[in-house]
Amino acid sequence: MTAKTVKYTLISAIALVVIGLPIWMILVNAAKPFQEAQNPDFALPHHWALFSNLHTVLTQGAAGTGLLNSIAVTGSTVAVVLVGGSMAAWIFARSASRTVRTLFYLSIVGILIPAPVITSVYLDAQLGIQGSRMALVGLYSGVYLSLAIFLITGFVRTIPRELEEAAQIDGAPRWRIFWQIIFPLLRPVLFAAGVLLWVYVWNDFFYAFFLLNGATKQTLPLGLFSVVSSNSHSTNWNYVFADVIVVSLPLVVVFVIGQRRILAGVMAGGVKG
Amino acid sequence: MSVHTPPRPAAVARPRPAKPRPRPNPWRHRLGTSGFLLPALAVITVFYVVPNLLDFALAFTNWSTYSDTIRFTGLTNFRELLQQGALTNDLRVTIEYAVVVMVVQNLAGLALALALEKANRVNGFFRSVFFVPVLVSPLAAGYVFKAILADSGPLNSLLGIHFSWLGSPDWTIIVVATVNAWKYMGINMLVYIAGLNAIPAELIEAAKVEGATWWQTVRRIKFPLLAPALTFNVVATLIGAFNTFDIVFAMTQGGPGISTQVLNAFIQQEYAQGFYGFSIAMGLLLLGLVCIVAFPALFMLRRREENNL
Repeated sequence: MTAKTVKYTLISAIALVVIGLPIWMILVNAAKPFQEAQNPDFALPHHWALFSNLHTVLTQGAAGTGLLNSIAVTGSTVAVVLVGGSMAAWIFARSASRTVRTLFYLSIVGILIPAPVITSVYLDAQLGIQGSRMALVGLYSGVYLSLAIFLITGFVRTIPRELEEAAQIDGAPRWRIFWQIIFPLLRPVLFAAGVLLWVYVWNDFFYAFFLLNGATKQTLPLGLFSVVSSNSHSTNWNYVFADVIVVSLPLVVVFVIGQRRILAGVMAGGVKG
Repeated sequence: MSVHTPPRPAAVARPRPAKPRPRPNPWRHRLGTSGFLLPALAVITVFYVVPNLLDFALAFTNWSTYSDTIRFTGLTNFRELLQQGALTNDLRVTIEYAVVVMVVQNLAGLALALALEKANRVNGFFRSVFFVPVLVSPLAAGYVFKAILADSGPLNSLLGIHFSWLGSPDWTIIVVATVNAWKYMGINMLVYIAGLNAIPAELIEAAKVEGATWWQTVRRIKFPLLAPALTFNVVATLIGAFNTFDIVFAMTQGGPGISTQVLNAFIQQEYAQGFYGFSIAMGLLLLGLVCIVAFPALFMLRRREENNL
């Protein structure tokens, strides 16, 4: 056996245990009927109930509305952050003014320091948007604009100014320079930042737990929590695992399709960010 | 916050223009500038800056569901936190948790990066495999491991032992922190791979020609040159772990006893019971903890960036 064979045998074994086993756990237990899943284990189900479990969490549970709410909340956040962030980033990258520089540093503090959750609830009550999806989108945008602005500003600095200057001399208004020349050039960084944001926001439980009120508004992770706490005597593990599939599958499918671009994008973001 | 800063073309394009560029109308130009900044700055101010400022005001009040008015009470909340013992316990738990996460997550990420450093098909496959947990919601990951680690759960029966993974006042904190590391090690792996790929190939070649072993190149060349990636990963994992909630909430809810009660778990608990001001006071301490790590890191990163320009 060569060193290479040993190495990859070892890595495969580790991957199988560390990544494979938890996934196996999810799949087999999501496929068991209630009685079999009371003490979830690694055994295969005797009776297969995967589709009926998925059907139950999607229709009777909160996963159906959760899916729609998650798409709405995550989609709006990513749109607000990428559009607002790239507009600001363009100015931040191009202006030499001291005020603008200070504003830049102030707006990227959010990368390190998270938003406080309880005073956000207080603020939402004052604004009359307490418990709404909009309040949640506002909080996510307020925090994650920092990361987007930081990544995009770094990227804009690598775009030569000549492109804009030519258009400026021709008398093109700034909004047209931005939308027609700059914004299309930002595609790689918008992709990378978009992926990161999508993963963070989609999976967030903490902020949603505090900020959202009412079953009709809950996102997927909140739905998962309500499945876990729905039965006060014991956990309905079959539904919990089925719900874990519903929460995770959309991201995993998108990742499998675009994995090379996504990893490269995140890595480029990591290098710069 | 650059992990490593490659020579950037932007650095050349940066110097201020000697002459002001042609501006047809300075007022319209100014207006344009603020127009582009306004949407982002407005959102950041309202939803991020204002709540942070409110933290400083409301932490010193008796705001709760049990009183109709909000009154300034000075340091009462903090004194009570200290007397109750929550402050010292939760601070200790949070720091312990963060240190374990930082060590395990970075060791795992670094080991994976060294193993999967070269870009090829097989490595690409394994990188993707180890990145999958990053995509799973932390709450979901918590529940899955809660089931795996249950007293009569599959891990104990597979190993033929009876270890109470989630019921030990001493070990459970480490178990939960390890799950956190499992969930996020893929990100650290990618950052380290990016750092490794930025090391000039000639350096490694030269070392090989000189007869250096694999471990020697790692220790003497790769590791020192990974310093920026390491700094980034250490800071990011520490700050991330200080703010942990979902995984702990899913796995232990702070237990057994209060042995895994991290700051955010306490904050949630007090909030749920209606002690808002009290809860915010603890939030302020969390903010302080984050700042202790974040500000030196910021200065270091800024200095490095300036040196590179």
